[in-house]
Amino acid sequence: MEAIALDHLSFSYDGENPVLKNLSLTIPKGSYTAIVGHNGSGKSTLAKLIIGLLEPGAGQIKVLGQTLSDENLSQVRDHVGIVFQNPDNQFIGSTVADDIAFGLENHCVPTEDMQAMIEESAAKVGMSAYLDAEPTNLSGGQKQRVAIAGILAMAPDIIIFDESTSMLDPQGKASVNAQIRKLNQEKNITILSITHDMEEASQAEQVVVLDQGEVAAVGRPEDVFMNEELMSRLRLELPFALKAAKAFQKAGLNVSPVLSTEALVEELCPSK
Amino acid sequence: MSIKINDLEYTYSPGTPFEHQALKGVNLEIPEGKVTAIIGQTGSGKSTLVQHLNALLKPTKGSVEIAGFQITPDTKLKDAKMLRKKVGLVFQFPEYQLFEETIAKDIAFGPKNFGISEEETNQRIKEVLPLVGLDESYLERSPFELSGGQKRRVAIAGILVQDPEVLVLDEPAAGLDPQSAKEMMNLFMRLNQQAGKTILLVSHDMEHVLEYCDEVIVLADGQVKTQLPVHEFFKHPEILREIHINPPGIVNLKETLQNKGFQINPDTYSLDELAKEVESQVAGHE
Repeated sequence: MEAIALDHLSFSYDGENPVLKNLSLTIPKGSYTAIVGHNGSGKSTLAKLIIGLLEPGAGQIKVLGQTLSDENLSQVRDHVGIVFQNPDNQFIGSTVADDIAFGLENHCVPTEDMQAMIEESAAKVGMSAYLDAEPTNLSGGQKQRVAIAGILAMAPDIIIFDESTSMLDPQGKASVNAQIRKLNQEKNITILSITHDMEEASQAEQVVVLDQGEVAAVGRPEDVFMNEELMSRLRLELPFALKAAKAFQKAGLNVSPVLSTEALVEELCPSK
Repeated sequence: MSIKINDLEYTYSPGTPFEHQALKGVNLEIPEGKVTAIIGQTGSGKSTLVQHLNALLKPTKGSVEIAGFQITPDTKLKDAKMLRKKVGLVFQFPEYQLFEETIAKDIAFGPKNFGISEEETNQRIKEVLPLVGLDESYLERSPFELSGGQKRRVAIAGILVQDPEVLVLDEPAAGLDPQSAKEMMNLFMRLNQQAGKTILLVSHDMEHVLEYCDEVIVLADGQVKTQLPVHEFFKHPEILREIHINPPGIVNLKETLQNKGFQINPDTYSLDELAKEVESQVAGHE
């Protein structure tokens, strides 16, 4: 079954300028999909439609087989979590534990069950030692991991990351990216990651390139990113390893398009 | 005139249980007219150091000489006003500091405080707008209608309008998409190359440091660990690893190639040149 199926979706904020145009896309259950594209390509609008913050102008959105409607919206949202861009804008509790508890309280989870659920979720993101910490004392990467813990406590099937690492320093980015991979591989959670970071996108199974509200390409990262015409037309940056692979090919070396420096060098053999 | 930092020490909340020495005797000479990167882990003292450059913080000990001013533990705040006109400090995510109802008013806020006439301010705004890639049609709009990248340009215009000699930028490209980040960095390069501004860049992005900076200063635990020209600096990726920062892609690739037995010229920083060097050394090459 598809986790998310978008069928001929259109959307406009002002009724004149279309943001999404007749867009169809399927996100398989348990997959890790990265959506890339320029500012204004419709990426974040798409996320807001999927969680029902916006309503499509035309077309259908199916989440876990159910067509989104006013009636089932809150039921569908139980299965879908979202982590936003700014780590400072999504803290509600005065401690890490309170923050993770917020969603549980809204779902009327009995207090006696809560503590164990909070501890379990915090452990999954490596934040067990910080349960009593105040959010202001955490780094950006830690804050985003707490946001993820809050979502995990709700046991979702799908998590959407909307540029969740773009405001983090490299260490914070790496820790959140590792967390995303782990959720996908170990918990089998469907991941939809909206990102500008091509290094992050290259760890996904499937990359979707959006351009002016339309799907410009879908496929494995190495296939999509090697589409030279597309990448240069959309002025998208290549992940470093692919840039290097292309430079090597240009110099006459026989290397395949790979997504890591180690894999690239593995293909070469010095003459002595 | 270069920036000189002499035996600079700074202690937060002295004499309280929260006492913390953030700078422990920093000595630096930062060249005029260059782009210098300041790097280091969170908590290494970067922010504390840059806040001394326009006297937002006063040294606990030692001194800072910058743009013709000397800042010592005895410097009075009222003397700092002219210094702040000459040393513009752009904080991280400056777009969150916009507050006026129009872009024109937001940009004019600084000059107004420095007592510059409205006429001159308006003239300066007209000069500054194209520098940051905005035009006059923006002036009467609310800054809150703009995209993140555009807001940041407005915030930076508010600093440039004071025509500072030195620009101190804390992570100016963080959170922008790659295209906007590139445009932002190119803007600072133009200010450096065409207007001769001295630029200090606090950054975690080693690709930017390699591409845009002339010199690198590494802070660790409140002290200067290293100060080197950029291409010398990246010959020592072990320094970066010690402070848990990943080297730029090309530096990492050079190292991986060397470990595999390739001879790589340490001065190579272009992918195309590196590819040629590798090609001449692969097995089967005649």
